Amino acid sequence: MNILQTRNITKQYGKTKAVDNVSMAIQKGDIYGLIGKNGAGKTTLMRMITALTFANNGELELFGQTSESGLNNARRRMGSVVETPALYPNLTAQQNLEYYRILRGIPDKSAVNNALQAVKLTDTGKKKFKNFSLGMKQRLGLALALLNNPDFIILDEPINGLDPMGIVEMREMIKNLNAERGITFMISSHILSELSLIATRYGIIHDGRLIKELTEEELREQCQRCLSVKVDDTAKCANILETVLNTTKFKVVGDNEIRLYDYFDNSSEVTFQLNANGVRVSALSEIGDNLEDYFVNLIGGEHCA
Amino acid sequence: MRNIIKADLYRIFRSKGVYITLLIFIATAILQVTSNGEAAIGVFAGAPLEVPYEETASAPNLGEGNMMRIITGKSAPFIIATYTDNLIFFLLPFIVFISAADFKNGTVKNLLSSGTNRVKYYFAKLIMITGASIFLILLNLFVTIITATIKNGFKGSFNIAWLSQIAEIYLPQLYLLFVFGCIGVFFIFIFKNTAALNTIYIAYSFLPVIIISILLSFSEKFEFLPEYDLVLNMKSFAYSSEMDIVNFMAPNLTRTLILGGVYIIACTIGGIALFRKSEVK
Repeated sequence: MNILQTRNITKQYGKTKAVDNVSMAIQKGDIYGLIGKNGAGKTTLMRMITALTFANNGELELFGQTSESGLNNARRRMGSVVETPALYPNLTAQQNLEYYRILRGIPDKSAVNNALQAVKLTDTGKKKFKNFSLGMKQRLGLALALLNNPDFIILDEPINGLDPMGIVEMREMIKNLNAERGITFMISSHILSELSLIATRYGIIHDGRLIKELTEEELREQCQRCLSVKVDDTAKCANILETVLNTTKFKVVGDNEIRLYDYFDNSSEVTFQLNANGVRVSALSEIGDNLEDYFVNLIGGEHCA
Repeated sequence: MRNIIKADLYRIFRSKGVYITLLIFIATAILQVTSNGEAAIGVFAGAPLEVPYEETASAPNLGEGNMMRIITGKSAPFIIATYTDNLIFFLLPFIVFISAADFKNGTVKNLLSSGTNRVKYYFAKLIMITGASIFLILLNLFVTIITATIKNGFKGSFNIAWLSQIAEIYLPQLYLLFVFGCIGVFFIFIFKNTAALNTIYIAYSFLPVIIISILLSFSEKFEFLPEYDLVLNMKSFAYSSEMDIVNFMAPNLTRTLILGGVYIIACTIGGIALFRKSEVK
């Protein structure tokens, strides 16, 4: 089931397209990592989903709703922190959440404490929001997003500015909420290595366009460490790998390349056997990306986000 | 909409700013009575002013036969009505607490992203401003009547006729104060910036009167202009022949209702239309 679907959604500022014909889908249970450089269009896309700005073209579907009133109703099932967590600076964590509990008409008064417990902010007492550290602010933002027991949460750079402990805590909280409560997440982050630890699906946005969507498995496959063997005859090479080297952990890529997910520590044996059996090896190298390398390669080697 | 109002009340009464504003407001209301509480009568222009006997006291300092006029609980609402336009400026902090705070702190994003309808949100703020306008007028009346009564006694009877006289003056003034509230809400939803609201709102309250005064000093053909100014309309209801103050412009309820109505409709329709499709940063 799709929680969110966009169809050719476009946002234009003057002549600049901040988001250009983006069609994407987020399914129930996903932790969707949105990756892109600064100014790629991630926040604009999130702002359209959260009704902070409006698309010039295209359609937005949230929980199956596409009309204006339907989308507003659907947004009640959603929590979000877009850009920085915005709360009243002179209120405490408890008071801020109580304000939103009343505003959202949540009858259960324990919702405030439950949300604070979920983000481990129950002991802030009379400390006002303006005196919170960035990590506490981020956690309170997440508590606010959790207040109405949402099915879908949008977090824009949730680990931005956090210390290493804060990053680990935020990651664990997101993973737990996804696993235990089944909450679907859409998260943008600059810290791609962190994103790769929690996301189950990825969307890569560049210059306003969604250039790639892939699952965790697809990414792992794309980024998996392997030996790239360039040969003159891939069919014969595959046969030798199976019969002589006794491995099936390989994939034929194109007309003259085989990716071998085995024999990392003994690549010379691979070269020797292939040559000995009449396959000419023109190149053999170890390859494999992490998410950051993959992202940089995909957008054409420009500076990473 | 009810939830927005309830939540805003919860928030506003947890802010120190609102209590500080109220303290200043109450102090000003008391000063309105104490600083204007006494005026010599019977010594100007050789003819005594017609002031009810119970509102006078002997003034030996001014010489024999002279009397002093005092503000009693009964007369206080009519005398301080000339200062009701000050409430326009006291309404400004309430517009900031009620509406501008959401834009200043960015919390409006939390509301919109959780499915709050923009039109309902706008109207909730207008209702809050209406409440603030009523509250300010009533508090102003209450404080001045109590202060004058403590100082000089009530000197009259608390009856329907007295209340209806008060209503005749203060209901149109309340209406015009609400018009300023609508203008303030319009400005904040358009500019989404507290500094811009303060500057434009104060300028909008002051400048027309100044411009009209300048124009009138040049030519009498601008005599019609005061009728189109909100502050001058508000003041016009404060002067009554009973108080023996020369009225510069006769109060006209129909004119005021139409003038205010135009502002209310223009600001509300314009504000909602622009906010509905505007970007919230």
